[in-house]
Amino acid sequence: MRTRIDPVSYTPFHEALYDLRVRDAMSKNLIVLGPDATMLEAQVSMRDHRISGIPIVTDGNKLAGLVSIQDVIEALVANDIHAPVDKWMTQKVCTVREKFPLIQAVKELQKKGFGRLPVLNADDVLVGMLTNNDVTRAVMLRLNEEAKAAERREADLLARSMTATQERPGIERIEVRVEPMDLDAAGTFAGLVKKALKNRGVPPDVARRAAIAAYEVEVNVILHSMGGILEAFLSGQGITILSRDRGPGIPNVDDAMKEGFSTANEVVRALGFGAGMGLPNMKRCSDEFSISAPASGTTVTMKILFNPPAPASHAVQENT
Amino acid sequence: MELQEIIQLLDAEPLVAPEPGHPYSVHDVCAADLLSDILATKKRDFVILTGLVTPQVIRVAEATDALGVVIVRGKTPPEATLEAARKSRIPVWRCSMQLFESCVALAPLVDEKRSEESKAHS
Repeated sequence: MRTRIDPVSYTPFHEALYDLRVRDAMSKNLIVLGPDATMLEAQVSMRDHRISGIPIVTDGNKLAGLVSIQDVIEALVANDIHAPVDKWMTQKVCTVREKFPLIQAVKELQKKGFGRLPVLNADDVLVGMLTNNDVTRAVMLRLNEEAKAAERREADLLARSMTATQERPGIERIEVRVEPMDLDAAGTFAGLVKKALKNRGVPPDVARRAAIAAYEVEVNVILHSMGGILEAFLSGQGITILSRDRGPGIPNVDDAMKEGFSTANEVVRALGFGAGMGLPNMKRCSDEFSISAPASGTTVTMKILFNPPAPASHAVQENT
Repeated sequence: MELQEIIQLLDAEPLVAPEPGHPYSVHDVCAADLLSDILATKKRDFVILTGLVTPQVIRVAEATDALGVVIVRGKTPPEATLEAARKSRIPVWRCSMQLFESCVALAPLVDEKRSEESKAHS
């Protein structure tokens, strides 16, 4: 009979029960006695090894029976504790095969209320014992292994994606993490960008546009987001600035792109920010500009070429 | 026009003096109390006149290649601003004029410079 498992409550725990075999969970450290041992020896052995049942085996480790605490009590009550075990042992023992899925053994343990099951191989030789504790330990170990494997896979993926951006030949990468309202740090990213461009000897007006774009986006993330990551990738052709924040996004990007539109508060304005020029200025400074601003976070990508095809297109306004 | 002429007309005192070899030829002046306005200017070889005193003024000056910052209204910038200026080699002066008055004081000089340029181009 198949046990129905509610799909909602089907967990990795169940998955492990189906996946594991009895031999993966059983304890192989067998404490056994021969059929000529006495019930007293069985009782002493169970006490010493803190087990609640002891298999009785004949030559070749074939299972002859099982002595449980209940059997010992019955022998004691009958004042027959010195009798051989084969007199008092349970002979019709419920067993399980080592190759069976663990779930089958669990059902057996539950259905009959047993504390332990002897495990036999294909030749009917006793190869282990299985208790509820063995089942729990095996499943927990499996889940732990799976969690570690998942962590490793995630770390590998991350490492590969980092390598893709970090170690591409000829690409220099700058990364700055930005915390909300940390104005003291504002300009760190722009400063690094400018320094890197200066070191490469790119034309000063290109370096200036990149530094301004970097500064504007940096200040935006600090003032308007819950923090984020700023990256710059420098190649022989140009610089790509990538800003990714943790939200809350921009409700209306079209409005935000209009000059003078600002959601900045008085504190921000008193610091000299919030003129509503940030995004339009970023776009003006870039050869390529894109923005997406869902609630989960705004992403701004700006590309500035070292040899722009039409420099006149970057005309910035005269406003002072 | 020269940096020194501007400083004299504004009667400004140096807070972070220019280092030897600092460019002295000034092409324009950008007067603003909003950093965004300075960031959006297309002026070249310019000096910033502003009432803002936070270290961000220096960051903006650095990003925009400004030749120096004159703080108006006699304000004293915090040490962090001066420290940033020294680190970025952006000279800083302070003058007691209002922003508008400082523009008026510099107007003849800037006018002269512009007319010279237009003559040179015609």
